[in-house]
Amino acid sequence: MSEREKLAMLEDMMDLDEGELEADMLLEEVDGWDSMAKLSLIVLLDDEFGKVITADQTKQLMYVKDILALMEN
Amino acid sequence: MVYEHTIQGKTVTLRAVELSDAPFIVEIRNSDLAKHLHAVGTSVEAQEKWIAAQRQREGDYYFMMLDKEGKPIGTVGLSSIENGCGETSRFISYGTPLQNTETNLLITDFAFETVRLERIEGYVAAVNIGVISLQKKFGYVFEDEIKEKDGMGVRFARLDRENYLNKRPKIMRMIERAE
Repeated sequence: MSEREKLAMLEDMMDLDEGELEADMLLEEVDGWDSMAKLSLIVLLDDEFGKVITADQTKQLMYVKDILALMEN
Repeated sequence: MVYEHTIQGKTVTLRAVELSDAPFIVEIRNSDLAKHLHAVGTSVEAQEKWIAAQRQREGDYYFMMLDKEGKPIGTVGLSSIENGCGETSRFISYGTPLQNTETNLLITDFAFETVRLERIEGYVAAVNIGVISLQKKFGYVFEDEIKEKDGMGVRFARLDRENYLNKRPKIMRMIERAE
């Protein structure tokens, strides 16, 4: 899966427009990065990438690229 | 007003704020987390007096958020209740995204199911993009206009019961799945 495809999944998850997210963006400045988005990420990583993280661990994510790293197979 | 029962969730419990919670509230309301809330000062005694008055005030509920070990992690309120309408308020938390989302769900359930409100209305700091984004996922509709209130830029938001009931199943599924 390409980086753009992963970003598209995250944009969909956060209710953002296509092309709005970039890897170097700071998550706290992303409009859709709220508590529900963090829960959605937990489910997405488990379902699509077989990765299990906790809600507490999502608080450590700083940049979009930190999420992309978790989406590596 | 005091709600005499506890409200149990998967990761959090809500119970009415007591005078003995004043030191915790002073601490959290003077932390960096409180930048979008009104200042409460640093006096524990003044906070105890405020809580004593709140417990007598009609149309005003105030809860402690406790984790499943019973440790305080934040507060949330439902206030300005009048004519079937109220405002969720005083939300501040050291909790995880899961605990925060569940708290939002529990206080909204309390508003619509226990207090039987028809709608929730209120103002959110315009720069508080995390809360605005979360509230939209709960079904809140925000006005675009930014108004000045108590020296802060705020946006008016409104949640109708029907909108919330449409969003609630998805929120519940997320809470059930996450750890």
